[in-house]
Amino acid sequence: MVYIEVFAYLRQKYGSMDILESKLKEMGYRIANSIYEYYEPPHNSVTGTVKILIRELAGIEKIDVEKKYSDDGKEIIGFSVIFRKCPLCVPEVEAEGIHYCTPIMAIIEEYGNLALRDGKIKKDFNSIKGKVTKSVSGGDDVCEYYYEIIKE
Amino acid sequence: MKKLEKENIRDKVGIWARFLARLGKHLMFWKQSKMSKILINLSYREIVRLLIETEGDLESALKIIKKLSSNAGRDFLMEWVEEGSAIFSKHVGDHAHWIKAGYYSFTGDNIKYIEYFPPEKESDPHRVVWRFHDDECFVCANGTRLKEELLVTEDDFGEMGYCCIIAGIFQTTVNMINEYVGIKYKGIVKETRCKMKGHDFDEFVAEFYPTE
Repeated sequence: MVYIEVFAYLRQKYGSMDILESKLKEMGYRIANSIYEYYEPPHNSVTGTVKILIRELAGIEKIDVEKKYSDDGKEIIGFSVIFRKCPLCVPEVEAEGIHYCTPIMAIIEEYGNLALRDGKIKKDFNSIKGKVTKSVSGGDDVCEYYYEIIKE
Repeated sequence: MKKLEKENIRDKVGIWARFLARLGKHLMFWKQSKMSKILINLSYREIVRLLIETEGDLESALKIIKKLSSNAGRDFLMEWVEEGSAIFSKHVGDHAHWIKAGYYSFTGDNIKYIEYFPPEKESDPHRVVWRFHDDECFVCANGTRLKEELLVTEDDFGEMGYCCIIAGIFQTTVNMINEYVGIKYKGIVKETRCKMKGHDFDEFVAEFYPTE
C-alpha cells in the first residue's frame, strides 16, 4: 500500500514515465543481486528457478510458464510467466503507461542472468531479457512477463 | 471514502476480547498475501535509495516515507479495522492490544515488548511504547550492511529513524480505530530509537492527545 504512494510520488517527481520505468528496473536489478547472495538458484532450469523464486519471494502459489518456440518448433525462443495476486499491483489503482510490478519482472531477469553467468543454470543460451506485457495495474486480469532468450 | 463508525463498542478490552485477538491475528495473517521479509527489506532499501536521489539526503527521504506512509492505505486498512472491531473498546490504553494484534496480522511477527503508559499529569498524552530487539524488525534487519549499501552513516539520519514506515502505517491505523470507536484522541506515532542509528533497540511511541 505504501509502494503505491511512493510510485505516485516518484512519477510526479521524475515527470517522465521512461525515467520512472528505468529506475524501477534498476531497483529490481539491485534487489536481484542481493537476493542472489542469500539464495542459491533452487532449480537447474530457468523456468523452474523463476517459478520457485516468485513463489518464495512474492508468496504467489499459482504461476504458469508458457514457452514460445521458433517457427520450425525446434528451439525455445522465449517464455512467459503469468500469475494473479501480484504483490505490487492493486486492481483498484490502475497506472497508465507503466506497470507497478516492473521491479518483479526485473528481479527475475537479473537473477536468471546471474545464475546463467555462473553456470548454476546450465543452458545453451547466455541471458534473458524481460518485459512486462500485462499487469493488473494496467487493467489486465493477470500479470504477465515475457522473457526473450538471448544467444550470443 | 467510507466514514468509519460503530455503535455499541465496549468500554475496555477484557479477557474474551484478548482471547479473540490472539486467535484473530493468526486468521488475519493467514489471509494476507505474503511477500518474503527479505524482499520487503530489500525493496524498502531501494525505495530509500530512490528517495535519497530525488530529495538529496537520507533525512529528507525518510521524512517523505513517513508522510507517504501516514497517508497510505486507508482503503486497505479499512478491512483490517472492520474485521478487528470485535476486539475494540473506547479505552485509549487498549491501543497496545490493537497495535500488537495489527502488527502480527500484517507481518506474522510478535511484538515482545509493548506497554501502555497513562498520563502522569494532565497535559501529558496517553502513550503506548513498543520495542524490537535484535533482528525482530525486518525493515532494518542487517542494518550495518544496509548503511554500507546506501552509503549513509548514523549522522545522516537526523531526527528520523530508518523504520519510519512502521510509524507512518500505525499512525494511520490508530487514528482509523479512534474514528471507528468514536474516541476523541489524535494519535501521533514516532520512531524514537533505531538500531540503524546506533541504539540498542528500535522503539516506537504512539502518543494520544485529546481533541476535545
